[in-house]
Amino acid sequence: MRHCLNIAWKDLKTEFRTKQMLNSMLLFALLVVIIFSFAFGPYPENIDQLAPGMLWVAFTFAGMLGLSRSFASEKENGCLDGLKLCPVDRSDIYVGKVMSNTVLMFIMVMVTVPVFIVLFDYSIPDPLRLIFVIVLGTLGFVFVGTLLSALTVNVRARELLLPVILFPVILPVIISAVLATGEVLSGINDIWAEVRILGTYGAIFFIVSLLIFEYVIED
Amino acid sequence: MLKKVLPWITLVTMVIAIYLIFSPVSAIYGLCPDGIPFDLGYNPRILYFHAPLAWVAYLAFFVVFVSSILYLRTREQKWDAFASSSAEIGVIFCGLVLITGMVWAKYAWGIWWIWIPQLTTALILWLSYAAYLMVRSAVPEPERKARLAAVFGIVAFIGVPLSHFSVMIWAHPLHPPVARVGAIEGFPVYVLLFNILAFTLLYTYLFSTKMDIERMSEEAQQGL
Repeated sequence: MRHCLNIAWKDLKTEFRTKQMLNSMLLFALLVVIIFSFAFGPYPENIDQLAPGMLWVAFTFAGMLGLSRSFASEKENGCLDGLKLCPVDRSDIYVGKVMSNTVLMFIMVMVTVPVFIVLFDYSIPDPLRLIFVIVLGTLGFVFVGTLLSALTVNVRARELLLPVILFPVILPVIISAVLATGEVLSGINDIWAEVRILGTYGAIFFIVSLLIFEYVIED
Repeated sequence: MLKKVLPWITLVTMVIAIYLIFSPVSAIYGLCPDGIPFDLGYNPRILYFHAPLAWVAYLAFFVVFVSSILYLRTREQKWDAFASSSAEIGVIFCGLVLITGMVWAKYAWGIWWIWIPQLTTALILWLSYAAYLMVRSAVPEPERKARLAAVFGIVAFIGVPLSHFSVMIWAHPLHPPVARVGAIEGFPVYVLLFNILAFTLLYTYLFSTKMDIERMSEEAQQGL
């Protein structure tokens, strides 16, 4: 556990020195929300239906940017080899990366949601539930995303390949998270069905990723 | 021996299967409001293609999953060839499932595409394994390709049931339960089973051919 924290801490420290990835994620998420507000007009009538979709498109697309850099940044100066030489379990690298990616995602979410509220003059009836759904959805996204980010790290067209292979696999997360977000925003309290899928998805993919991560970064 | 016979067995079975599909005995019946069964015509018989295709697609993807695990465990090239051959056939069959499903939907409900769980899951399956083929084509080195594809083959397969469940709760409030136009019982069930057998044989034949191609291309690579 300490190793994971160290790796995550190292990632975040290098990230906050340049803020390169974080800034582009934030700007991109902002742009998605703004483009949506242009596309749907200033005060769309069916904002309740549009809101969850907009939010999750912004989260996943901006998250994709961060994920594609997550391992790619380790390619410079042979950092990935250094990481693999660490006397820690390979799955610790995965968990560390998951932690740092999650933190970056949460920062992005925490900026995007207020901007969304401001731009669309939206009020959230039950913020705690919304946070719960977003956390669950983000975790599922990051668990699979980190594994596939490592998978594409040595591929030449990785920025192209990652979205193509990640989106089909995270569709359950997107579907359930959008549904649950929509229900929370429209004041429906029964989100158990979606939460169950999100939870199962997260748990299964976390365990599977721990087991097969070492095969991904073998070379 | 088996390899020589397999194409012929497949051919004969397929011909019989197609004959059965269009023969009068395998008509699918619906029920009039007063309970009298009536022949629904030829269109519902697309089921005899659709269901076996879906079965073969699922079988093919299951083979990808198992061979991927076996590859990661044993590192034998054979298992990678298994996975890649099966995935290619699976993507084609899954595409045919989507097309036959759409044709049926146009006939039955008047629209080409309908976001019911079955079709949506098939679409997600198709996308996942198209992505699998993308992974394969993106990595030139054989060993790395096999390893990364195996990892993705496992991840994609695990995603399938989860996709199905999420699509179920997603599609549920939007659509009324899909009415069964023709209840299938009696002789048509055997026709359907025979078709499943025929399409499975077709899969086996295509699979063995693809394996031969893989082996030959490997030999050609080594000869160079």
